[in-house]
Amino acid sequence: MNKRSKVISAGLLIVWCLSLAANISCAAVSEDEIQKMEQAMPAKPIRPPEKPRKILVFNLCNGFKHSSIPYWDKALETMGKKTGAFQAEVSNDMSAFSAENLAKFDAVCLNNTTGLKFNQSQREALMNFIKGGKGIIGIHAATDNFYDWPDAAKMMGGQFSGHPWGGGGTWAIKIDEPSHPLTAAFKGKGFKVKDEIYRTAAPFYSRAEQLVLMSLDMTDQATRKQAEKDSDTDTGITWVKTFEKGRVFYCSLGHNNDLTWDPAILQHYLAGIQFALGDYKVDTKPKAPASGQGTSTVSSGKGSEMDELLAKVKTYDWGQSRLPLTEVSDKIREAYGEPAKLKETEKSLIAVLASDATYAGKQFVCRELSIIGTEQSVPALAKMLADEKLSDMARYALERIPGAAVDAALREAMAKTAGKVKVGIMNSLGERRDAKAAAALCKLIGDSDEMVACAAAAALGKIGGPQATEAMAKAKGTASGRLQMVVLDAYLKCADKLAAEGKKKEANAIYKELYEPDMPAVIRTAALRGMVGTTGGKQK
Amino acid sequence: MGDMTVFARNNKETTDYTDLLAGSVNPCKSVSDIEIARRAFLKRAAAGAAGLAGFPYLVRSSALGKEGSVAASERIVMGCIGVGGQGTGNMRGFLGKKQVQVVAVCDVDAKQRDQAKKIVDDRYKNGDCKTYVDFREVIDRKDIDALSLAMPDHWHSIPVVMAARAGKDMYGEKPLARTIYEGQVMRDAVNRYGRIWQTGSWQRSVHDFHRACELVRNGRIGKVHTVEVGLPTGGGTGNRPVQPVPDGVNWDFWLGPAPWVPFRGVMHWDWRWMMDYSGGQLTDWAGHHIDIAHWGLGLDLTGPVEIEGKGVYPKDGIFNVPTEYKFTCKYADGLTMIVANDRQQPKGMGAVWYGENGWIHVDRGRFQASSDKILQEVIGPNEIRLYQSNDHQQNFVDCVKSREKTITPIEVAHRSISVGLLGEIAMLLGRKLRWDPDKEQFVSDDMANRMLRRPMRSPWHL
Repeated sequence: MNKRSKVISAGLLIVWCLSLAANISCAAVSEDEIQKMEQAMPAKPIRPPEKPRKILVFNLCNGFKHSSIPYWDKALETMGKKTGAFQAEVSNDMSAFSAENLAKFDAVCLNNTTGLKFNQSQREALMNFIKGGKGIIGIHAATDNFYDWPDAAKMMGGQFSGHPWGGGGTWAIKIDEPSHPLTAAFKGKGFKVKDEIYRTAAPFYSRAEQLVLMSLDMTDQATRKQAEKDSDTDTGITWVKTFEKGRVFYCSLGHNNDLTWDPAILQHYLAGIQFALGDYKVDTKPKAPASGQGTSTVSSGKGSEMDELLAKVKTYDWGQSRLPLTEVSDKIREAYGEPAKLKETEKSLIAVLASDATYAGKQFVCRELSIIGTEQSVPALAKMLADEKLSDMARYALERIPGAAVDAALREAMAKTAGKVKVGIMNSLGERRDAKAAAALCKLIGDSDEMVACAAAAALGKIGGPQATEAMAKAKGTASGRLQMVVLDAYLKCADKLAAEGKKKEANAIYKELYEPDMPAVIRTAALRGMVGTTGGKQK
Repeated sequence: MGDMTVFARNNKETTDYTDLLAGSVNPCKSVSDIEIARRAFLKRAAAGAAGLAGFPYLVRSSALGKEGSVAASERIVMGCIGVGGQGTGNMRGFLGKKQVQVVAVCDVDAKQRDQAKKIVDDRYKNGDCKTYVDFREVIDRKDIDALSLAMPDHWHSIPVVMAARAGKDMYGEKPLARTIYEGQVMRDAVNRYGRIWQTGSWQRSVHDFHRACELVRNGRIGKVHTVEVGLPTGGGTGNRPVQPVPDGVNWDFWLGPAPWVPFRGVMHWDWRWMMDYSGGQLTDWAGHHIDIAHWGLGLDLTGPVEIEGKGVYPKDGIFNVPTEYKFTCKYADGLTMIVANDRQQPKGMGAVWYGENGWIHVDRGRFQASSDKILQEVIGPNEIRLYQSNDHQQNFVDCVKSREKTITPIEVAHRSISVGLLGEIAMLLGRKLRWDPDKEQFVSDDMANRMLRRPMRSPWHL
């Protein structure tokens, strides 16, 4: 899985010897750089700490070792000192993960650790520490661990599975939760950053398990181009979660050294660390519920409860929580197979259409009626057909509801409307193959509005039958522009329908007409195919 | 199947007829010529469906005049409709082909449109590439032979139907269509007019997938009883506020046939997490791994007879496609296909066929079997050889010239996405559904049959 650690393994031995010496010290960070860090660092804590806080900053690497490790060691030390929010203690000794030692700390920070291996007692110590109400902070490669310990990978909320976005590139970050306190450093606005971004694949990375605050912005071409898998489109950058009584804060940024003197990044980390320490109380509720979660608080079937929910639907508008809508849909789904209950629900839905409900609310109702609606819904929906704003959604429901009452309502409305509204209704009649609409549609082929004429021809092509066939034969010679191809296409379909009914001779005659040399090549192609299919054999 | 679309090229009996159509003889006027062709066709059809791929379309439109077809010596003049990430990627591929000349780019977002024009003009070192907002104007252009199409799923069907009757050949993105009905109409239009169609299910042109399918088809794991298809897991998000439409974007046109909603920041790429425009990871990837699963089984012109499954849908937030999903399809011969997101599949992503003598698993970058011996098997000269292509876009270009079928013709793409769409409906309804793959209708289930199509916003229609 971790390709890089394999690639590195050959050269690792040499690097490892060198790195041992540098593992704790900050020797790699220059005075100049430390000064930049100090200047960029927030001056005060986001929240005053409730009591003196201590963080175990752990930086052992059994796999790839990031050069930014000493930078983050130093940055955290400086952050703690300057803001007074905490005190950092750096270690690379696995024996730090004992219950007694951990008891001294309020949080553990995995500073780019890789391939950490915990024995059983260390596992228990760390898990009890977090579950018992402490915090864990992950910087960048903190997810490149726990390959033999899925529970811990789950706790971290992700596991490294490549980094399609290299440290030399500049990538766009979007703020998924612009109003969340932990993203305040970015003022709700997405930004670009030059850093390496980890892919943290499912199942450990899941929006159902954690609140993702920032993620890669796939609307940015350069960022999007690097995506290798469809799942890369959701690549989390920062997330938080509540893990039993404990708190998890992870941020993918931190591969390149210079982020340790970026004021916004440092401010973001400070907020996250104070959250993990328990001093900054913020929302951690995941946005996508896990399976089985979010069960309806309303049991199905009781009219009054449905009416309560529908009262919320009436005031629903785009951008608001659609939870009440989901609850209505779930209740309806539960009632599938119970026609009596569905009829009751349908009645309640119809009442919303007649009310002063929002457009968004009425649209939702039409979507539901489109699946469960019966002729009972027709009068209410028919009233909306002539309304320019509501007509499309009324048709969204009506077009799929079976029954002659629907056809009659559509035909009546077609006669009374004009322009786009009329065209929509014509389209619905065509889709419903309403033979009774043919006569009226035939007249509309000659309409001066090309949009209306094309819709009429297309609908007649779907309906077929003698009236449509005759109308197409007439229109064939006169139609021009875009209408010509729609008419010829409809005429072919009329012939196809005749052929399918066994009337090969009549069909063949139409194909022959359409095979004449003055016909467009593509029509002749289709006509010739039709001729082959209708020549010879038994005539009905 | 669109059996009228294929014809024996080297069949002696048809040679005269082909010459006739190729223009060396006057176009047939007498019924007897047609009769010859008909008999030849029926003879070929009776020989069975195996090996149909590779035969040319019965009617070569070149026989009927210059318009509507490209001579072998000429460049294919192409327009690109939808030039976001995928569309631009496809366009770059075609720009790299000497046999193709891109002359038009079309997008409802000025930013994407202008960027695409620049790429084309840089390639040809001129300023000739024309830009369009309305795809109908591209289709109206008589000089354009072929289209590269890459719009969101809800925009797949309408342009294809219009372009087919205007005589264009098309390279179109998977999944074929947003609904099964749209897929049927697209298939019928493309085949009625004898157009060349290639679906962007490019895995068919990749060695591992081809090889895995040939091994399965030739019984190297024995009779297959179960297939697992693993596709990516989805994710949710928050509720996004209504926002001003970005400059240069025609939002109403972007929505097209879908219900009107205000702009809330979801447009490029993220449309696939909203049911009005896509079915999520499930339908996005059905055109890849389900397509491959079908190919290995030789079932790519039919479908299941029973579907049942469960999806997990975000209760809140702007995205509403299932994040987790799992459904089981039964085929007429007793075969079971289990489609699920990778977390719910033992082998994760890809297609896995389980036969009486072992299993084969193929995914991007992964190709394994229950024993190495299976992977080393040689396919003999008299065994089934599947259509071979090692360059998906080149295969389209070649077929536009030869008028032969592509490696992923439209009727096949339709059946691949149908499985994903059937699963979507079964999960939405939460009950076992019976499906008639010949009639393409659910058996006695009105509600399910309603879901086979979606009413379109005016003025759009098929």
